[in-house]
Amino acid sequence: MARASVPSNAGRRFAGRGRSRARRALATAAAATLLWWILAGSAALLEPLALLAIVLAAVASLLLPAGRPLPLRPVALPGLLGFFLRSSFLGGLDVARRALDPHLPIRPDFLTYRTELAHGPPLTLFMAVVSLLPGTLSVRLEGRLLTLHVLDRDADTRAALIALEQRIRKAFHDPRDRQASDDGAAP
Amino acid sequence: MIANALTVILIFAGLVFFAAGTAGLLRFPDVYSRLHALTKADNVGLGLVILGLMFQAGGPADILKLLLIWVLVLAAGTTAAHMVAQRTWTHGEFESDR
Repeated sequence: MARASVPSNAGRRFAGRGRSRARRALATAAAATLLWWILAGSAALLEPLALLAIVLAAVASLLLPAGRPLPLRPVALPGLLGFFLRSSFLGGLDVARRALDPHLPIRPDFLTYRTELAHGPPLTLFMAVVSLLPGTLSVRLEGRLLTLHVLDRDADTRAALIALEQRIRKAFHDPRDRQASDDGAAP
Repeated sequence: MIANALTVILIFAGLVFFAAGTAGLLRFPDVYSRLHALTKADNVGLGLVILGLMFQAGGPADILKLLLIWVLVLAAGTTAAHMVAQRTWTHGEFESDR
């Protein structure tokens, strides 16, 4: 958990703005098409309203200011997804067992955990997934200090949190790591 | 036939989780513990129901639609749980039962 702080002087790079905008518009059009297909079926895709909506979505992404890019690393996503599915299933199983047990075996407590994840999508995802892990619920975030509620104060919650944090860190490009990963091609 | 059997089994299993989540909601002592039961058990319950329904889907679009429903409910559930927990932390419990 406690990682030595990396010097954060990695220079930020901006890709060609025009190209990235066109790519974003195409991606938006593709997402809109997919969504329309999912919601209305393939026959509805050829209706004028569908085409209008898809084109408008693409145009909107050209006109509106770009949000911050989502620095995802697709390679690490299947691992994160598998980890999430497994542990959220175990989380449901665990709490269902405790709720149905006649003795109600819970010993709730609060716990604090300092995360090293960057603010933004990684930290948001971390807090969201924490609430679905076995026995943990994210309550409050102050800076990087997370207050959690745990159902079983004797469970090894910290190890699970560290595992999740590592998974999530692998799934995102950390701006602080960017320099390192760019130089890492030629050791 | 097999698809129907799988649907019945999976949906039944999902309902068990919903029932367990409701039991937790009634039996757990405080807001935080109840949120555990609500979010986690219902997430798995809905996941199993959705998985069961996927065997009845008419095509890939239906399967993706079910998946989309699960993901949206999941995101809403975990966010709502966190917001209720944070509200309780800053403002105290709404009712001091037990």
